[in-house]
Amino acid sequence: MRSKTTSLKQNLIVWVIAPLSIFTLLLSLFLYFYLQNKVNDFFNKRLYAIAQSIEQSIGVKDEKLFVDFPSFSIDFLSSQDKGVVYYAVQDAHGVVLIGYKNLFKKPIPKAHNKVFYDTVYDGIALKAVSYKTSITSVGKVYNAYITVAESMEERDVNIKDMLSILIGILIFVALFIIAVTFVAVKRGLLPLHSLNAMIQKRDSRDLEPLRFDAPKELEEIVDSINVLLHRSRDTIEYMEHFNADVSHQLRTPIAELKVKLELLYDKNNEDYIALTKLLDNMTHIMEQLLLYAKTNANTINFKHFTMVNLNKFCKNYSKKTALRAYKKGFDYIFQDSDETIEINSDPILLESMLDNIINNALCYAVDDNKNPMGAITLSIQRHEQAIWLCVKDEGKGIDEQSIHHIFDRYYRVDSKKEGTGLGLNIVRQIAILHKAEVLVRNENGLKVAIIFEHQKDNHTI
Amino acid sequence: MLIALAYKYAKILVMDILLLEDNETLANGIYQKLKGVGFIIDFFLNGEDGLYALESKMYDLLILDLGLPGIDGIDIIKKVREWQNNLPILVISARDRLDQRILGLDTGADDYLCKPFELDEVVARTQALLRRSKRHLSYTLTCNDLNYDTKNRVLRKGNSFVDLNKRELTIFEHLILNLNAIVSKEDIVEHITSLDDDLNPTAVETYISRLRKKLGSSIYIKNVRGVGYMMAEHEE
Repeated sequence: MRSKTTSLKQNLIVWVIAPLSIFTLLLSLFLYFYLQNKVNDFFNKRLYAIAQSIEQSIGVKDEKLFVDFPSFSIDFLSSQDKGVVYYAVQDAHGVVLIGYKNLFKKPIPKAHNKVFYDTVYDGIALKAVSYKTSITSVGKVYNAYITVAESMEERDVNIKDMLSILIGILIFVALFIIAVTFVAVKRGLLPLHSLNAMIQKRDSRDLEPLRFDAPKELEEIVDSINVLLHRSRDTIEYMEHFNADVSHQLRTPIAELKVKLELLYDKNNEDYIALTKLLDNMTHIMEQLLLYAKTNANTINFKHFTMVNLNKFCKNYSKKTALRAYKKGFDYIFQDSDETIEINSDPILLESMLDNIINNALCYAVDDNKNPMGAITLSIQRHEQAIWLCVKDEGKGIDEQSIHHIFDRYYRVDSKKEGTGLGLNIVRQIAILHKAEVLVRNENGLKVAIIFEHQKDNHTI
Repeated sequence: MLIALAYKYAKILVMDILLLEDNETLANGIYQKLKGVGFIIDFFLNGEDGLYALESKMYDLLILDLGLPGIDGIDIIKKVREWQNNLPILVISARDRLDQRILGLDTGADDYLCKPFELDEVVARTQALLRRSKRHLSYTLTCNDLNYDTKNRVLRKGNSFVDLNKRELTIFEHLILNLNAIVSKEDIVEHITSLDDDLNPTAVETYISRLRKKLGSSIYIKNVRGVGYMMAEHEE
């Protein structure tokens, strides 16, 4: 597996722009050299034309070569605005017939072919052309060597102009390619973003199939996601049925045992009391374990979640629970909120959560002689955007160290007391399913608050 | 306490109960317990026999297990409700899921008891259902030294009449029919007012206070803070 996640968009952009950039760079280099060559070629031809004009002026007189070429003609022939033109015509003996002495230090090629070369004269870089020409007069052949050179300014200006245009075009092309690439990649990835947004928007608890008009390439992904969702739904339903089956199959024999015991023994019989206690404990453990399995976030069936009127729910819950508190010797108080509060909840889980908190209070809010201490208070409070569902007892509370562990599985503050150690862990699991937080603190007794986020539009999950 | 109260009923009432439960151990246990309390019980282990019994005899209460062989308990409730709307039905079932409980109650059951249960709980629920049903109305309810003639709506404390006005009497009747159960203030208000009659829930406190004075120590009315009231024989 790759340790670092990469962006598909970045990858696409890099893979499109990088080769195009390299290609553009190579193309520009090629064009640069090609154009430079063409410019030089043009100027070389012009330089050669000047040399040929001078060649026309060479004649033979008294068996000697002479050049009849006025110097202003050179300026005319070169017809350049910038730069300087130098020229020289030598005879076979190296005598300069016309032009600049010592212009050329290099030996002039003996062949008739023209030679173009770079040279320096008087500290100025020049481009020169030299060639050998022959004139026949009275059966005698006279050789002359013509050299014309010009400074580089005009060539440089032309090359720079072309280069500027070339760079301008390339920048435009590069920007155009980048822009088109970005747009194309963005448009290409749009369905992926839409799918991602759709998945992000969904509640993680929603396992209904994705309904997405996917392009061909995404169809298989959407189908695969839907297959996984289907499997998750199946697993949850299987867990639910398994839970119900286990519950159903165990409840009947336990009920039988209880009935048998009740019929066989007197209620005050020690064996009856001990066996009944064992059975009750067994039932409690079974119910807690099943509830623990049922409230796992990965296997919970959220279709049981619905909008619950918390005020009515707590009042009805109190009608049942107050009797339980009275039987244990506690008083019971319900403090309702003035406003009607609705939360998105599974009522049976909510009831199990409160049962676990209150059972905990009934078990631990006792003095050293195990006498019940004060009242158990269930209250609904609204604090800005939060709904606090609180259970408070008037016992001794628990030490601060234990507070951090009471939600751990199988943690029990007092191991001598009966219980599975799962109760408050289940409370936390159920709270998480409701996207709620659990707060526990000592406040003249122990106060457990389930803090729900208040959302007016939480009708949908 | 509840058993004691049930014995008091038994002196006055003879109630026919039909029990449909396929588990023989449970059926025998419930049969013996209810018989011991003084009820007359017929029990059957399957739905067909149960339906036949219901067709041929008038019962005061039906105790029904939902998981019966042959005909499901829910179907029996539906049939019973087609025939006799006011027969109280107590469901006992191992189906503990809320939707199953709701289905049972929505179909027409009056109470739902999950397995495993204690036989005392079955007796208590049976009595509560019978108390609330219309069938007892010609009988007298007794609690400590109080006797309440439900037919003539007359309350006696020992040998003397207790003078209660109409609303006090209605509240008393509602509370004693729900003995040992908590009744909310809103329930009481709903019970003592008609559509064109308006009553502030705080007024209930005044009536309760008057009732306490008039009844003295014969019966205990507990204030369940934030919820309502509970009538009990003794202070718990």
